Amino acid sequence: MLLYTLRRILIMIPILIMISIVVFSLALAMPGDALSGQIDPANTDPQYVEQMREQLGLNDPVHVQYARWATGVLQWDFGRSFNHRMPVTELIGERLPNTILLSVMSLMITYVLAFFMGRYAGRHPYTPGDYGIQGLNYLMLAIPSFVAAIFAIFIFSFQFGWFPSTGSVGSGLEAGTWDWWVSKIHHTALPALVLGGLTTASYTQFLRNDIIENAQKDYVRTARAKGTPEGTIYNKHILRNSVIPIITLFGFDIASIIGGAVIIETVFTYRGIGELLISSITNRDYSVVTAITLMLSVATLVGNLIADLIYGVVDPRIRVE
Amino acid sequence: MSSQNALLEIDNLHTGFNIDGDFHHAIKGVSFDVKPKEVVCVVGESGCGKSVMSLSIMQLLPKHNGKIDKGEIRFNGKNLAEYSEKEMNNIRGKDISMIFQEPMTALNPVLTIGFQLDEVLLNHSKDSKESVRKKSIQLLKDVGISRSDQIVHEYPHQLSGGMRQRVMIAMAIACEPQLLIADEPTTALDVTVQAQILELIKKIQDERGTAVMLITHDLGVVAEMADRVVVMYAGQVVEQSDVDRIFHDPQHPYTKALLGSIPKMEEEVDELNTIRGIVPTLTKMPKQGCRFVDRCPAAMPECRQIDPQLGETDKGHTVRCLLYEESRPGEKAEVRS
Ligand SMILES: Nc1ncnc2c1ncn2[C@@H]1O[C@H](COP(=O)(O)OP(=O)(O)OP(=O)(O)O)[C@@H](O)[C@H]1O
Ligand code: SF4
Ligand SMILES: [Mg+2]
Repeated sequence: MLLYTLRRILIMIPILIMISIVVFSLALAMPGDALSGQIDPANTDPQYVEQMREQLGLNDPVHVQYARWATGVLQWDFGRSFNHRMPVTELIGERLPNTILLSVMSLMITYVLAFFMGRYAGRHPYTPGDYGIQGLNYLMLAIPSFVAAIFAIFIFSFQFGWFPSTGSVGSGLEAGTWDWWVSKIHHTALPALVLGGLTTASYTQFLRNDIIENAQKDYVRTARAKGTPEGTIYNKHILRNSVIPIITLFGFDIASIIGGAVIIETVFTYRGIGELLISSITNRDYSVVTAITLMLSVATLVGNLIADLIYGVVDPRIRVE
Repeated sequence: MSSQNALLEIDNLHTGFNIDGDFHHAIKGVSFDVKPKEVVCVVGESGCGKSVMSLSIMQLLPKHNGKIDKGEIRFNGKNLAEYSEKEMNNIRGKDISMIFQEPMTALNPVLTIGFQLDEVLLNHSKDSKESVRKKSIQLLKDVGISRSDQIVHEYPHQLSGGMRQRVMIAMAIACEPQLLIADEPTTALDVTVQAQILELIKKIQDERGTAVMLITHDLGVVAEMADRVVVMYAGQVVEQSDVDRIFHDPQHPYTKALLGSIPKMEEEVDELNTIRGIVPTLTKMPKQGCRFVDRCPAAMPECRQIDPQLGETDKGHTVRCLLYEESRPGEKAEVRS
């Protein structure tokens, strides 16, 4: 298992280098200064731009620039954000915890809902309950997330006043205190519910179909022949098989969860990475865009690795010596 | 002629499936008994309904389309259909247990051997987990698995087909059942392993006095194991008798053909003397007359019109073929052994 993990990590290195080259090329193709973020995008005086480019080494040969940038990245240096007047790393460091909180909460909501709905529908397929759950699934798949977000804000924030509609934490609270945490979770709950609720559909459907498929398997017949009660057959024999693909699904889903977060954060003006990405694009703060793009690519890769490793842990057939 | 002392009595069993909205019988009027401590072999080609019959006994037909619609299966004199699902669970694995055809898929891939073996013991006793585990390890030893205290922690994919079938046997005998149904337990295994598994079943039967219903299409196995033989064709019993008479005085053309299809070592045969054609599928079954007619070398025109009945030609020897007076309707009606 350790060897397998090491091998998987080693394989990632050339892929990471390729990704970095692609992101770097994109950054070069962007107008202005997407790597260090020190040229004012609003100042278009050619003389100023030329002088800054020379000063920042943007006229050097490409490979020299790449080496300089890559060295910086390895030292966790993504240049500066021109708009926010601070290092990109610091800026992202401020936002990232919010996005992680949102993703984790929405994942938990997804798993809890999908587990109970999928289990019920899988055990009682083609019953009114199953049809109800399926109907709900199609509805969730059909509604675009921003529409759902707007509806949720309208109903739960404006009509009922249960949740705040904007921001990621109440103002005037000291970071780290109990009240601050409560306020943070209160602010995150509604976006997480929308994000998690919408993803539930595919997870539920997946679990349901897998349970139905497993119920036909020979090992289920063997369990019945031993006199095992129906409840145990579903909860131990079938579920133990059917949760495996579901558990690993999320590793592959990290990219789409973050993708979903971009939209949800923007609608809720929730101060996370997604909202930062969109506002940076609008403000032509390209060094930030480059850094976030690179981070998302790496996150996807790491997500796949995590998925594979979890697979190895939960499925005895994959556990490699 | 229902014998008082039979352990299992199958009486005019009809089992069928819903296929595309129509109900088709896979078992049409099967009757025979299994007495305590007896080995009954059920033989017949692929598709003649052997597995469907054993699943009918276990009440494990696929719920969505399978159904017993006529006849009775009595175990110790009581109709199994009258038991509730819960009562049936108390019988399955304890009084009647079953070994399946396919050892590669019959075990749950993500549960340990120990868990799966403990389960049958826990289902039917109030023993503690520790004592059950001890018993499981002993059972694995009994079926010839060495280092059984390690095997309990392993998963099915770590074992060979023969080992898995031994595990299945250990499960099946764990609660000392009165009847063991073995549905082609060796078909999927290597020849050498086949012999070992059969020997194991024979040994268990000898030592514990378990009645065995062994399903097979290998007549070599029948000769080795059986006290009595039931020959099935297309969902019906066509002949049954004790093992000697089946081999030395076969009466039904199908039985004769089956016996003819065993390759004899001393003869120089280029081609196996197999029976032409295959068992008709459920939807293509003749509605009237003998079901074997299209493949029967002795077929007569009337075979397409008259349904042959199971008739007793000799004491304890029954046959379903119009060549025998006893099989004609209106003579002696359906007889059971
Ligand atoms: N669930 C089902 N739905 C529809 N038809 C079925 C089903 N199960 C079995 N059958 C049909 O019933 C007939 C008897 O099948 P069965 O599995 O009992 O044969 P078998 O004698 O056990 O053959 P084999 O030696 O290949 O195991 C076959 O025609 C088969 O296609
Ligand atoms: S009844 Fe006729 S067709 Fe059927 S086995 Fe006998 S002789 Fe052959
Ligand atoms: Mg079969």
